[in-house]
Amino acid sequence: MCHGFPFASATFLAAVTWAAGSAQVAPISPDDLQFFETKIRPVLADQCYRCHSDQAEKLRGGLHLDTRAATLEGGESGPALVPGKPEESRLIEAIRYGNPDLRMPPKGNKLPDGVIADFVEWVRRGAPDPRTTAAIVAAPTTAGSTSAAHAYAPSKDHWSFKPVVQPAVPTTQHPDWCRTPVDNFILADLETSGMQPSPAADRRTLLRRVTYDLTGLPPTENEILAFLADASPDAYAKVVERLLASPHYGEHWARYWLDVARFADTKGTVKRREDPRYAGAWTYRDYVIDAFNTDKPYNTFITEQLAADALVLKSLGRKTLPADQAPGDRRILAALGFLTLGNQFDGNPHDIINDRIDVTTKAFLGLTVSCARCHDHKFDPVPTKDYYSLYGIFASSTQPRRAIDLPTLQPVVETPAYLDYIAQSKTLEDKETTLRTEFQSLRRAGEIAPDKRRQLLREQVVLQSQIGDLDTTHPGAPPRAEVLTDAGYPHDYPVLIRGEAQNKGDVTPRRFLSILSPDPDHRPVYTDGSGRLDLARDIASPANPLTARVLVNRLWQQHFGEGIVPTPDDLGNQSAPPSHPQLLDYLASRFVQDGWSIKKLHRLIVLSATYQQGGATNNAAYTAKDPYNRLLWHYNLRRLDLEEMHDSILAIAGTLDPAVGGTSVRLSSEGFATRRALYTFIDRRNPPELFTQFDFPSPDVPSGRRYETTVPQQSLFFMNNPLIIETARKLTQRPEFTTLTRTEDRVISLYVAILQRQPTFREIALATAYVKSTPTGASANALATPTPSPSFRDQRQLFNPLRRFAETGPVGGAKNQGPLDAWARLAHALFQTNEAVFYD
Amino acid sequence: MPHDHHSHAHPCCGISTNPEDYFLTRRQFLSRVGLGLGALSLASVIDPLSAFADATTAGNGGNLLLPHAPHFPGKAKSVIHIFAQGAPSHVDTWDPKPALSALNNQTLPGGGVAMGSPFKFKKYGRAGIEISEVFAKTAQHADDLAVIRSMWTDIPAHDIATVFMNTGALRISKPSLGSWIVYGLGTENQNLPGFISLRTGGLPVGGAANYQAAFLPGVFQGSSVNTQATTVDQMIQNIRNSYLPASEQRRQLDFVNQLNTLHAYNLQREAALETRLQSYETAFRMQTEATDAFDIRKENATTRAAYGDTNTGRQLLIARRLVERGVRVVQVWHDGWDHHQDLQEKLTAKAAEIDQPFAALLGDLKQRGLLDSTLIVWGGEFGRKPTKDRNGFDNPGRDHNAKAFSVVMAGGGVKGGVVHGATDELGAAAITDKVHVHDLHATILNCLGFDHTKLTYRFNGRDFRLTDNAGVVVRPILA
Repeated sequence: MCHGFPFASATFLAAVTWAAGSAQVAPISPDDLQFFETKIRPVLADQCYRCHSDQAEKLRGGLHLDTRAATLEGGESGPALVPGKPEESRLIEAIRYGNPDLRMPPKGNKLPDGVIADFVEWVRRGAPDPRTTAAIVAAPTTAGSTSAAHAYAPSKDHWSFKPVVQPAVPTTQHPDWCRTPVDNFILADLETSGMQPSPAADRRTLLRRVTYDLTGLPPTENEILAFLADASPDAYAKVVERLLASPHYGEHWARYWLDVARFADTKGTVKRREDPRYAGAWTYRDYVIDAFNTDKPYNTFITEQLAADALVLKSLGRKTLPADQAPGDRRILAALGFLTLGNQFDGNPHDIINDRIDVTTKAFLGLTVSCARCHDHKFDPVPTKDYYSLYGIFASSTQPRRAIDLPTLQPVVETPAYLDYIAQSKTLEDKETTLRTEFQSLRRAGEIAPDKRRQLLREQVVLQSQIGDLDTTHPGAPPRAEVLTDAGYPHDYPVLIRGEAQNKGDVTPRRFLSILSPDPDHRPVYTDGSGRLDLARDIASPANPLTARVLVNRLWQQHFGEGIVPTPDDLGNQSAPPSHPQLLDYLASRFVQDGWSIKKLHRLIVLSATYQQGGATNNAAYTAKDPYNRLLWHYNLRRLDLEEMHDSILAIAGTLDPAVGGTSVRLSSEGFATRRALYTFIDRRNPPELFTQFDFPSPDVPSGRRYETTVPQQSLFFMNNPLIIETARKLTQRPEFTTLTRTEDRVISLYVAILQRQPTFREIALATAYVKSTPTGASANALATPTPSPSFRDQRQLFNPLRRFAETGPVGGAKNQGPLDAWARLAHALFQTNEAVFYD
Repeated sequence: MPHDHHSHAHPCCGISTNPEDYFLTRRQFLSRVGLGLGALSLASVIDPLSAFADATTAGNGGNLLLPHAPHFPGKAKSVIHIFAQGAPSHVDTWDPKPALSALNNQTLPGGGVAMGSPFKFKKYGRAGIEISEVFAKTAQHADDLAVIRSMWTDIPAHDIATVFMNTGALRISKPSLGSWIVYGLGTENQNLPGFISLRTGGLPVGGAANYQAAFLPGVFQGSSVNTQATTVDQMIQNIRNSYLPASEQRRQLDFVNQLNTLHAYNLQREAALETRLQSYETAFRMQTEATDAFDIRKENATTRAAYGDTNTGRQLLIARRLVERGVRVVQVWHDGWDHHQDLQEKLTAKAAEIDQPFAALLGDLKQRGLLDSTLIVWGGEFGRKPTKDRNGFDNPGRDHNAKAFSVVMAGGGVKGGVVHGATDELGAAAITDKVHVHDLHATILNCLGFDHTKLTYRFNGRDFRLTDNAGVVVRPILA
């Protein structure tokens, strides 16, 4: 193992990839490549391309300097350079400024001597140059990177841009093993590699796996017993149906989508002193839960999230959204939270639109279109113009500023509570108007005294938070949808060159991305309102090569821990190659044929023999061949995520509230000790510390995959947090536990509850010894030093408007309820084991 | 490539390059307890608990965090990276541009209206480094500073560039600088994480990617601590157990470890299980050590006053206490430098937050004899333009600029009183002795004793390194 190897191997890969794309050019050494990329290309791009490239407005001297071939061919005066001979090269002559008739760059902008020396050295080396196609039109800032990836124009030939064609199901040597077509694809690849799948998992393991996988919760004791006792051949299929029909299925799978939708309950940085809470965030969350539970076809799910307003207006035959009391079902309007519930970026419209383009293209298409805001995408065929086609769609849409202006989900009945809410709302609104008028008149009269100014600002802050409180907590406040609607005059917008608002380029029509359009040169222009409905239909089209693949891959990843493509939010040129491309396409085409049914897709996967394999990895030969299990010769070990861990512990102790949906609960409220974790209020400026430590993704970026970290703070939560410990105590206070008298029965009871299995004799002995040797008396408990309450300063943070939602109270409101007996300690110990937070 | 289990140390520096060495796989477990793979059927007659106990007492228990030597003796033993997130304007802080001031308010040929810096620059120290008044206190230590004025990066978007500055990767998830360093060096204090990230409030831009271990073993992950709170119990939640005395908690943890060992044995694997077990042990020890390390009330009043009783002051004081206790890498987040408008007021306020604590940190480390072994890096993810950002209209600021920014280094391994590289006369782009992010990473690793091309980790069949396939050490600033 030599030291030079890593360096060589990395660049070797780059060189090979490059050479594959241009067989006629000799390979370039890593050293030369680096020299070119760091010393030569940036200068060419900065100083020469403006007049000597494809992007030149007017090509000068017929000379292109943006590919190797063109540079060698030269312009009207002949070749620009002679490789190996700087003294015979016109380019060198020009940049040296020796010939008064040939001075480049022109107008006295002579290059620094060091740069000239670099060019001489480059030509002397033979002018090594990887550029085979015309330079990407890119901001000069990006042209100088050292990455070899910059040497090519973004490929349009990437597999994921090609139409999905349903492949034939492969034949295998062991067709009897295969239960769904998934297995044929997996087994065929294993057999090609001379491997076989693992034996099936035992029933208890399988039940635990599929129950966690579909509902995010562990199986109950009765469910385990029923499954173990069911000898019918379709026992497992019945379990799968039971789980898919459970309302907890939708809760669990909604959370994955909420990660992708960068969902949160607040607006991030808000304009002026606006209250940062979204009044209708929870209705979007509940819409997603319901969509999964009712198996809403995915194409409808897409369309509603992008254009439910248009669908509702069409169905009601109206031009504007109805008032609170007006008749008509408009629950699907909540879907628009997908677009609206992002960061409000201080009210900056360009950033808000960028966020909406980002979430739309990453979530549905697995494409990073927002990269094209300032320059053509460096890796994928997404020109800046395409970005501004989408920009026009979202710029032609508008979001109501005040909660009271948001449409209700149902016709409102005028109950006393509702009337009180409206009355209070009106009072606050009047106050707001008065305050604003006072501010304006003072400002018109001249400078406002600092004290007066501060007083008015404080009043505004208080008033805005009162409005926020009213809209989010008043019992008469009706559920509202955080909608986006079409602007009065939808129109096309110009490209903003380099993303700069003042730097306007050509107007671009609102229409779909070129790379995903059947005929890129003749794309239909969107003229129906903002164009969001047309956009939704183009995304949700069976002909779109990405939409079904992206969703299938997301679902696969959540079932196996790793996607067929490991980068779920990016299936473009930069994505890692798929492990089973044929399988991905098979599932994508089946998915569309099956009416975009997500539940049918689940069945194809979880009923497969591949999914039902055991998890053991004790096969040295296989481990050597496929250490990362890309071929799926065994089931992957899975760690519970934050929500699964939290919900399991509550479910095990019997304290979980099974109610589905509703307004969000605060981390430090008792609601967190009873509701599933997905109902927790998330302030995007300050996500709860506990969530942050357990890998909850940033709510500012779409996230199809969570980082999985293991840090000591997670262990500290399990070891010391009163929510965990008090929940363990509750488990030992249930009558079905306290009535047990034999030590052995008590150990078994805790094992079945927490780990969903019987303990072994060995484990019973260890647990008994642990319980028996628990000390009694003064030494058994910690000294009475209660957890210090938050310092004065920390409490003051609560009153800081930017920190209003900081959680400094105890998690779930749980507090130390006194000394723990040996059984509560045992239950707490079992919560801390690896087995409690992993499933296989 | 075949791996030999019994000689997994790197031939030169004692760092294993074999990923399997970092995993308690079934195979390793069995080889530790003296069994081959063929002996699996004997599992029922072997006692995994006693075998495990023998194995862990025989070696270091697979503790990857024990200190080990780098490629060559490095001057720096630890790093404090102050991340000025949001992209500070270099022409208003460390890179004076009189020519820009002369053109103030004039339209430039390349587009945009020139915006001269509203701040005064003065020469400081024997070296006479010109530094803006907003850093007047830090500037008193000019002779300890190495100012790089020719930094550049690839993409001027905050999230991408921030993660790029911390991981050297634009699109692919790669280990952070801190994780690479702890992977290479281990850490001196086994009672605290080797890599600690101090933030105020929510996650930094780019999230956990900024301190992630990615494909490196999980123990190299940065532990993120919210220093917005003032008490240890709020900073590191759950640091105390209010139910059990330490002896009882130890007994409980030993019991949990026994169950975990049986579980791992039955499952016949795996790295993730072992990582979680180790993190429990660190957590147990942290309960004592962290309550001390993060408690700045234990500092005398003079020291606390020197740093200042502010978020940033407390952060840097905690950073010093951590470094003093042998924590290898401390990442300090100081965000809010994205000044598109109101630059004069906002940058003044932002710099004021860090100037005094930064100066205090330099003085304090020097006085304690720790400056020579602690590398301090201050900088953001990119710089700003010399022209007015039109968003600001009457009260202007500056837009993003990836072509130029400044980074300041001090302490272990770097020369003081030097300026390296230069931007053009308006500060629009670095032109002389340009330093790319990969070059900065190579330089930081060099200060710690690493050849950045040789600090590698094999993943998915390829040897990865922090600096990708680039990086040139900035030798002129090295001590």
